[in-house]
Amino acid sequence: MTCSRYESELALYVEGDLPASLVPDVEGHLESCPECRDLLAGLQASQEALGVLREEPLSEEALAIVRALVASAQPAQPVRFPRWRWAVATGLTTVAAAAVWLAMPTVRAPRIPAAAVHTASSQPAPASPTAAAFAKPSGREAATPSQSTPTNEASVSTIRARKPVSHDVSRPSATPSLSPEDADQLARAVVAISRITNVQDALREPLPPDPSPTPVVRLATADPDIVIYWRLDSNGGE
Amino acid sequence: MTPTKGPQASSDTAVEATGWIRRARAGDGEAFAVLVERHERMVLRTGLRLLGRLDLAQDAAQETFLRLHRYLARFDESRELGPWLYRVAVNVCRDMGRRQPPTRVLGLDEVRDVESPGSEAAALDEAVTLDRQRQVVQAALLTLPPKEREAIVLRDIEGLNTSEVARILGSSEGTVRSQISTGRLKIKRYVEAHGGLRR
Repeated sequence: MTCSRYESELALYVEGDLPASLVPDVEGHLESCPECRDLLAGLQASQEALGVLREEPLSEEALAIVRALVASAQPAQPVRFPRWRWAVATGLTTVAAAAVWLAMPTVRAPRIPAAAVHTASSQPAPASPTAAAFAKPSGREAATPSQSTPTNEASVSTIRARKPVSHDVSRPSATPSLSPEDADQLARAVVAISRITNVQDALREPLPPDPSPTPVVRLATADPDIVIYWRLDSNGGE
Repeated sequence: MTPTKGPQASSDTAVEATGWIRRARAGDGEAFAVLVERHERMVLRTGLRLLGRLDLAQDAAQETFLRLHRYLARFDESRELGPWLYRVAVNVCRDMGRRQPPTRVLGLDEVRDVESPGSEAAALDEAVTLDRQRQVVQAALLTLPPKEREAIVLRDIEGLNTSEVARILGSSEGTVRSQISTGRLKIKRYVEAHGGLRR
């Protein structure tokens, strides 16, 4: 029968966890108590058995399963786009937002050079050219008898206002408008569209010099009457 | 008898570890995989000793590393990752233990003795004895209340000192020593009663 008072201390002493201040007392007691020495021996043996668990190796298969479980449950890493794609996306968003805003019938379009305004009609340019550049004919706006309009949605005939609102492009817009640079880019987009559809002969005004061919992006919007065309420059920017 | 330091990752320099953490935090999947690889043994081993089953320990390890992935952005990289992972692993195992109590380990009468012929008997007997001893000691661990089991696993199997164990468990050193002392005495009695000691 061991001395119960020393049991818990011996259980700490066996692995060196006993506070230093208590060690001399325990060691002194051990010298005179064989039962406690037996207890200590038993504790050493069970600690050695515990060490068997410590030494038991983990199989590579078991570890591989952990890695696979972690990988399969991990949320997807954020996709990293190259910077130029961010520039394209940003520019696209900006121009698209501006174009949609301009296409809204209550907004007056900014002044656009006449050369950029074209329609298959023999009538004078009826509407906001920038709005027209980004609008598609709806069923409500079927061509009038006096207008021969190609059905190709990318054709010049699509470049007209959604509503027969009278616009005077010579009058400055009373509402906030695009900067001259943005307006010029929109005009270039209109020109690019006309070149794609090969209807130059329908234009009433000669077109500016042909810029170097670059891709044009066509964006369909939620509104079927609004289609956005955006031209990329050779650097992939706006 | 008990190692002074168990975690594999303790061999990494602090600078290296911080570098991996920063890269993982920035979204580098490979860096995170390195962190997993460097700590997977200690996490899996801890889970295995606390839960008693490899499949549960693997689930616990998965959850531990997923929590690391979620909270990496908030992790103070001036701290060591090992103790943090221990704490998370212990908490995960506690939660799992509440949902599913530790599995009963096979009793000794259910473990078949292997009759080994010839001169290779000694090595085979040794392996069998070792295997039986592991089973007995693991069974002894599972009889402990969770807090004593956690203290014993962290101290006697993972080799952390009582101060580190106290920090991980959120207890005082005195409490940890008391849990360790009681746990060791219980293990000794169980192992002696079930013939798990090799003398």
